[in-house]
Amino acid sequence: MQATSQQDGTDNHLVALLKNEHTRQKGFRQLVQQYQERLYWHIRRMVTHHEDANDVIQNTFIKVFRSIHNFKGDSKLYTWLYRIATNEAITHLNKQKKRSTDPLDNEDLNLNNRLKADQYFDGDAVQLKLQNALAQLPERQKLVFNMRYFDEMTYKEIADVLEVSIGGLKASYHHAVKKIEDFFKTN
Amino acid sequence: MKKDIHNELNELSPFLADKLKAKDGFVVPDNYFETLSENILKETVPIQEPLKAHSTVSVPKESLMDRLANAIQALLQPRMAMGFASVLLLLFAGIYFFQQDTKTADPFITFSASDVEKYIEENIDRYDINSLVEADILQSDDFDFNDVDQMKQDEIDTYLDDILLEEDELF
Repeated sequence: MQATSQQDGTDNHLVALLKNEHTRQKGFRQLVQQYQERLYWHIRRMVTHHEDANDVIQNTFIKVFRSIHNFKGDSKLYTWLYRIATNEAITHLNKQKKRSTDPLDNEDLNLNNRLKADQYFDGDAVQLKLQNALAQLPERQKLVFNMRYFDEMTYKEIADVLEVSIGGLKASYHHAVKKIEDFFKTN
Repeated sequence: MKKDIHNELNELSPFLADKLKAKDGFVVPDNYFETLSENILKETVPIQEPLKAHSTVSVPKESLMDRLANAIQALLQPRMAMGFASVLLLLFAGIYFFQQDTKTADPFITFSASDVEKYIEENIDRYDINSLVEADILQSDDFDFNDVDQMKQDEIDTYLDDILLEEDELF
């Protein structure tokens, strides 16, 4: 994802529509149509399953609608949206972890079986292994890997969303790649 | 996939760069994104409505019958109904226990004055004389002070000695 000047212009126009009471609904509709797909895939890679991603994307946009008046324009609109989507996905994952309190619950086995049975996953053996490898990573490393490799975001964009240093992000990405490589070689 | 991202991965891990094809294997239901925006907009309608009502739309005045119907409808809502039922339950429980107390108090009322006096005479040692006088159960003329004259002098001396002994023990 590259933030071009054209995108910035569109975002500024959207923010103007959203801030005006009379054009808010029109602005929100445009915002959803413009960002729903990108945010969905970002969330989906974090939460893995379509049903979860569907819940999180809807909550994300509801939160955006409720708090649009708090958007000061200090950061770019897409950065703000990605931040809300990321936070919503992390909240969802934390709730899921709290719910599964069974100590005999094997998460790896569950993920593997669930993905094989998931009608909305048609990946091959490599893609299934990649999902299992990503599930082993700490949340931050998984997030950075997905944003860099799949969302194709620059380190500057990721740093703006996660509010961390670019140096730290590069280190996280490097560690993530090495761990995924190890997983592939040992499994 | 962008060339710089692929090159970066190739530098970090040529093994992974060869294996991964920038695909994650995830798919969505047919026409999902066409319906998603509509679903999201539907979800935000309840948020938008109060805003509209507050800012631009004037609410028509309700008639008395409408207000009465709304009040009855509100009472039939599960939360209100539960509260209402709880209040009724407490009210009936209160009345029931109050009646129970009254029933248990009745036998005392049926005691005659002679029964009470007889009971007190038999158990006089258990009561403080002054409190019985204060409660009008005993009258001052119930005491026959001529009895004192009939007491033997040595009994009085023994009584006074006992009192003095108790006082000495205290100090």
